[in-house]
Amino acid sequence: MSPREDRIVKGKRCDHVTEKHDDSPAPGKRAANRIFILLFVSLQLIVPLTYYDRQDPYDERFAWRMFSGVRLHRCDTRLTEIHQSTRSVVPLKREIHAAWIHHLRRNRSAVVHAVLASRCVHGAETAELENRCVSAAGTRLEPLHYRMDCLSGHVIREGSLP
Amino acid sequence: MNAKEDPIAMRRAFDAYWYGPIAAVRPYLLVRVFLALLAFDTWIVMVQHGGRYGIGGFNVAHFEILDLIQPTPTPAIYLGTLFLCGMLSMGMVLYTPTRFGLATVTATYTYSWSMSMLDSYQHHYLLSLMLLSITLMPIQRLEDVLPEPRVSKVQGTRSTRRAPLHIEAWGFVSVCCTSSIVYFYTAVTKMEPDWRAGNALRRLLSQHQNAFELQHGLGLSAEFFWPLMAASAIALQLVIGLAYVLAPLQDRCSNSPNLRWLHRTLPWFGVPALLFHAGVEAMELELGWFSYYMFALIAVAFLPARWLESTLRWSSFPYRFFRVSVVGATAQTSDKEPLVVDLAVSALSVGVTALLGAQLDLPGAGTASLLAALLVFFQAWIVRLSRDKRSRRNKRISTRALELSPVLAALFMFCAIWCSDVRFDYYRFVGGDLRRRGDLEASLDAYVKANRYAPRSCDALHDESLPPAKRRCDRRREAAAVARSIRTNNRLRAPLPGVQ
Repeated sequence: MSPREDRIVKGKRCDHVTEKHDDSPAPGKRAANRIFILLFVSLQLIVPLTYYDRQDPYDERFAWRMFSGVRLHRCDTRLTEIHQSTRSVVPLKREIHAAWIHHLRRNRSAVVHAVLASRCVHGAETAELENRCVSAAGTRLEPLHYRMDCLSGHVIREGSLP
Repeated sequence: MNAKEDPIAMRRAFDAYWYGPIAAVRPYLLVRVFLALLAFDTWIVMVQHGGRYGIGGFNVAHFEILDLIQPTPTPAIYLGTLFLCGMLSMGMVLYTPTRFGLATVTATYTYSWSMSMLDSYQHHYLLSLMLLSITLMPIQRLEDVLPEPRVSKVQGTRSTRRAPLHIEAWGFVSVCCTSSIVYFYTAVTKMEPDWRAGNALRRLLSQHQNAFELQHGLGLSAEFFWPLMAASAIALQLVIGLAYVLAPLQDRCSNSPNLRWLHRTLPWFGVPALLFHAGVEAMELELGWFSYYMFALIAVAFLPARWLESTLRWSSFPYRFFRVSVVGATAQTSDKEPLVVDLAVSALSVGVTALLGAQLDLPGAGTASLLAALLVFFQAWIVRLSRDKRSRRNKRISTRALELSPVLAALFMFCAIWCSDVRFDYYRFVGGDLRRRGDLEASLDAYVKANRYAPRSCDALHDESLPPAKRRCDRRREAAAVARSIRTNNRLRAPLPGVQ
């Protein structure tokens, strides 16, 4: 009998398994693997759960919320800025790529903040973004306003989140 | 004392689940199929959107720390990362995966989506998790999974029928668990009021008349039909989640009647997952190749090991023939070759790979190809100069095969991009964006390039009644018309090459 055949798993009746490599790791390595597995699985269970504790229902990243009701909200976005005390509408399509406009429509706060900050860099005193959204059921939601005061860099959000 | 109270029993149960036997063919196939899909996915699906990176110097990464340490991603950085990831993946499919190679693929792929929120596909995060698990799977060669048939001592005949080989592969169990967690949370998401009322599903299927026809055909009211469909989707995803938790038990050996029952029924648990992803494909939900990855996982996780082994035996026949006839013949030659020959082969491999990449006319392709070839070059020389137990002849064959892998991977990449509409779409999207932002001259340049790579099949008499062919030809006509209109309206250039 060959050494490999010596390692045949014996004493088990099912016919579909006859042989197993004897390549199990050393006990120390197995303990390290156990810790890694526990951490890896726990992380995968905990990270999506954090969504339900977040203040921002629109940030659905890492929460496995594919095609959620929130994802299906449809929003109209309007960016305005006050420059030398004059308010003007920013032509978004000329300023940033359409994919970023899509993120603004989805109320991605990190993108909203970055776009508002970019207007401040362009010399605006105040930059303001308005999103008017409709839910998947067709209900009009309260408009959301994000206003950045370029002096302080603070963003104030008005309007309640769903 | 039960398992809940006894830590040793808990550890035993943990070990039994994670370290139990898995048919060796499952992880072997999963690694190869995922890497091959990943390579073509990066080249064919992801590359076309690379032109949107870094426009106006604007970017938001998925993680704040990346915004602090990385330069603003550009098309060259994004595409270079993808090309490198794809080439290393394909190289490992053609040669043998290495731990370093798998870790590099995981890192480059993860960086490709995390560098910018422009890539917010959730299945890209999922693939990163799966790639991490794949990196931790046992590295297997075909010879390990499909050993030569045994010679029976009694009759002296070669027995081809043998039970599948089993190994410990907690990385494979981890892939199944990750899938299960994803389906579970996706089902939880759908338990919100908007979904349970059927509104979200109705919105998703608004372009698909079949669903509405089904509702009318069954004579059901919308108020009953859509909540019912939504509830079915939730139930289906919970069943799929459960199926993936149980999938690693399929190869377990036990006299327990429950486990024997599970062995018989588990392959059928793949059916709901198959139906679900077939439905997703039919709905055209713009999920890229996500369903193809999942089809591969369904097959590898749920089909009986014997079927998978037979498939592998048949599909690997050309490789095994090559190994016996060509590599076997090479092994008969002298094992003393001057160092200069080795150096020449290495340099040729690097040069050809870089040249193929540079010919693609896409940002970052040449640099990424050179980098991939250099990585393999260093790996080959580490093997060549190492003092392991292998004979010089074996080492030479192994390093030559390794050095050939980036050349072949570059050839696959070249063919994939040459035969698809990737460059047409890439330059068309770039041109469209530049036009929207008022840079007409640069837009025209991009459209000229797009038309150079436009699908040629529309020139010949083709059946354009098929929707994909029609859409493809419509896109070509549109690109040509846009370029013509920019030129006419703005009197920018002389007649355009390739524009009808």
